[in-house]
Amino acid sequence: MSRILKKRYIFNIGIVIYGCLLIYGFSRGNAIIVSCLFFTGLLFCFNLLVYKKIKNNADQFNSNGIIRNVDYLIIGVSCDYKHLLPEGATYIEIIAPNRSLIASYEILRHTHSILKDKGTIVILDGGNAKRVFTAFDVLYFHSITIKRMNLEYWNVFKYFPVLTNPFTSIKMIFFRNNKKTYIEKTCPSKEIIVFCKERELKLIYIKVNNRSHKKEKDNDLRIFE
Amino acid sequence: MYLESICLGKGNGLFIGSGLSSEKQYDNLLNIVNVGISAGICSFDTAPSYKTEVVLGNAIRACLKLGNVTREDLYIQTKVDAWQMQEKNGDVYEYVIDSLDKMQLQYFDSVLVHWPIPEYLENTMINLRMMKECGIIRNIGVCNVRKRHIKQMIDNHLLPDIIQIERNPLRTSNDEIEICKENDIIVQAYSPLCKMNSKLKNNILLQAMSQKYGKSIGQIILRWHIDTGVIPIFTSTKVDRIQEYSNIFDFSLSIEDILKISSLNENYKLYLESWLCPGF
Repeated sequence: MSRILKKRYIFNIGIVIYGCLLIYGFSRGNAIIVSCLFFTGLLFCFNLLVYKKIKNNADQFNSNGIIRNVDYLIIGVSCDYKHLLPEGATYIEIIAPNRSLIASYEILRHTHSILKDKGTIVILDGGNAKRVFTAFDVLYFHSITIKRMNLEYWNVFKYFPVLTNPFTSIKMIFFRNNKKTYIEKTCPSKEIIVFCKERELKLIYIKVNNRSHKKEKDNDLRIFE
Repeated sequence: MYLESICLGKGNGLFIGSGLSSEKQYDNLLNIVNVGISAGICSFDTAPSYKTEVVLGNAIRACLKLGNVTREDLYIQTKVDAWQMQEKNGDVYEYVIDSLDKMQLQYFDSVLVHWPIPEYLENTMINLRMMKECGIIRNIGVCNVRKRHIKQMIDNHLLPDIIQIERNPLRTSNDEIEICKENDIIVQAYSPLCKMNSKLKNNILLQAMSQKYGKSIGQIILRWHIDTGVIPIFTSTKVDRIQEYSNIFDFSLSIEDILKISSLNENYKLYLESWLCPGF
């Protein structure tokens, strides 16, 4: 049985067991069981929503993906940067709340081939990541990277982003804070600079701050123009 | 003319690949190998990750028993996968021996590094070169490389005999081919028909050439590879298709037509290198 079929098989069995338990709870009139099951179901659906959101984006990099040769590859923290892009520019975004710069670099190492020759990498760095890697990053990693960086733990839990990163998951779906300030700076990671230079890619590093944290007046950059 | 210098084995220069989407059932693969050999295709490409080494080895063994070809007539190529490079930090000797055992062979005509993982490429190439000196491997090479990788290998005195890249009219890889020709490196093309992408299938230019030469679009594209000095590696589960694609040596494209096909280039990639080879 192929891996995909195995996963579907396990998923279907889980659904059947869940349904049976729900029927049992209702037939017994046990409010605690029913509400527990309802909450679990809700959590499961939300997890599936978050996971699918990341997975669908990651699937673009497989051989059956249709997005190729884009002008911009945008990696980093969630923010509304689209108004900064030149009109008609093609792009792909790999963003998540609170992504670390190290995770952004590792994602860049895995995804830069989607850019056209001499395309542009945009790193959006929030600088406030509590964890170096999260379930939002590992889906973009090759198995040899997972082994090299000892990320086997995340490789298992990448399917459960809501369990491992509940607040980030909620943020990702419901609160994409648009009120940010964007300050273009020199990238603090020499590795990223060298990496882009060797591959003749243009690098734009942007420090992203919540507007509420800074009392700066309208200083949004138009760096892409 | 150039074809003669790039011919591998005693076949016509074409390769049958046994990639991930190819036939894995013994009877069907035996049929494909048999038909291929009858049509003059004596070169076969596999890799551990394709999981076809055993079945392809058995099919080749069966064809050798029939006596229509000898081992020397055939050209058999496998690869070293990324996980193997990582597992032993480039010391891939035991994996190559394992592949030989699986395919019941004494030697490989070529072994290629499947992905140029930066951390392990140099060590792997050194080890493969040692195996070449021992006679276990006749040629060594690297797949999925760009011009900068080839330059780096030349600088490090690790010149490969062969490179294998994704190449088709939508991705002509001119820079790589140019540097390979300068350094006598054989270029093989995988996905030579770009999985018959609709941009090729419905291309007016290719359709017109198809009528002009009385050949299918697939045949025109394969001939374009040959006429530009590149060995196409194609995969098919259909015997008819193998016969069709082997029937490309009774015509050649004019220089104008070669240039017209090359002008379709848009650097389209089916396989994103960095996705399958982190740090590419």
